[in-house]
Amino acid sequence: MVNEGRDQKLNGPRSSFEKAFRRILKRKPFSTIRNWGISYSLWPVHFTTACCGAEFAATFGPRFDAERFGALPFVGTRQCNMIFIEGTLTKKMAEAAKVVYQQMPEPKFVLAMGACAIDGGIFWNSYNIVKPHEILPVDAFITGCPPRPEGVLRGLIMTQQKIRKRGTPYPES
Amino acid sequence: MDAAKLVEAAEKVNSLGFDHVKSVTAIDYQQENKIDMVYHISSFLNAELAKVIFELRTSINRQDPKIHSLIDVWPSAEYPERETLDLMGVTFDGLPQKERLFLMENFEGFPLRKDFKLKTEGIDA
Repeated sequence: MVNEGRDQKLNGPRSSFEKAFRRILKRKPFSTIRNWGISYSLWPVHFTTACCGAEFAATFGPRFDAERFGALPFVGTRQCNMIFIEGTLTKKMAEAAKVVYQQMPEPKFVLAMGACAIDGGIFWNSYNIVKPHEILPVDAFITGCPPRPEGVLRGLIMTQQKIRKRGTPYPES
Repeated sequence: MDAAKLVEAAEKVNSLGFDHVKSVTAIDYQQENKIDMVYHISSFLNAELAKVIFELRTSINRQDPKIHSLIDVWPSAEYPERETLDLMGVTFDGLPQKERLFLMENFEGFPLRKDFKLKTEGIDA
């Protein structure tokens, strides 16, 4: 691993102040505020695997404008906390998706978009596809082939509700 | 046509003015134990020949599918031939790169062959 030393530094022994701070953050009023903040600060990474990428682009364009819900696509994987699996995931692309997901900082969220990302869609039972939920922890599925931008927005809002309701996974301190 | 005379025929067709390969197709006949290779050839430069699609068709043995590459005659044959190698397992002599083009490097078998077994998914599995 390239960033092993960095990970060790992040997960290594912490000061007592930091431990106390993290414990307080997990408690009720703070965790609610934190989850509320995270739910309106989603940064999907630009990772187009298939034709659903066009609908993804339309979702964040001026007409449907997903930025008003608090999500904006960004270029840097290490600065993003959300990944849309946009349609078919071939075996070769699944390797890339895994790398992209592993590079993102916690907490991170996965949305699977389109029929192909649910059970293969028109490529069902093909020799060369991977179902995203077999390799990544998918938070919400968006149906459609391809889904309309409204559908994508609905998936986004569902994810936000999930974050506020259940809280976000956080690396153990 | 005899597969051994394919390059010779291709050079002859090339000299007529057909300057590119449109597609390279392999058809799997499992019962007859053969694979048919179909080359579709046309022209960009000659306006008359651009309306025509020329077809070169030959049969090869299915157990040892080997044919000489047409890359020396038409460079545009390279990617279709590599795709055929990838999906049907036809070996082309004279092709510079022989690794997988579309599939994973560790993929086993040739998925467009009739005897390729798919892993069944869904409610029937």
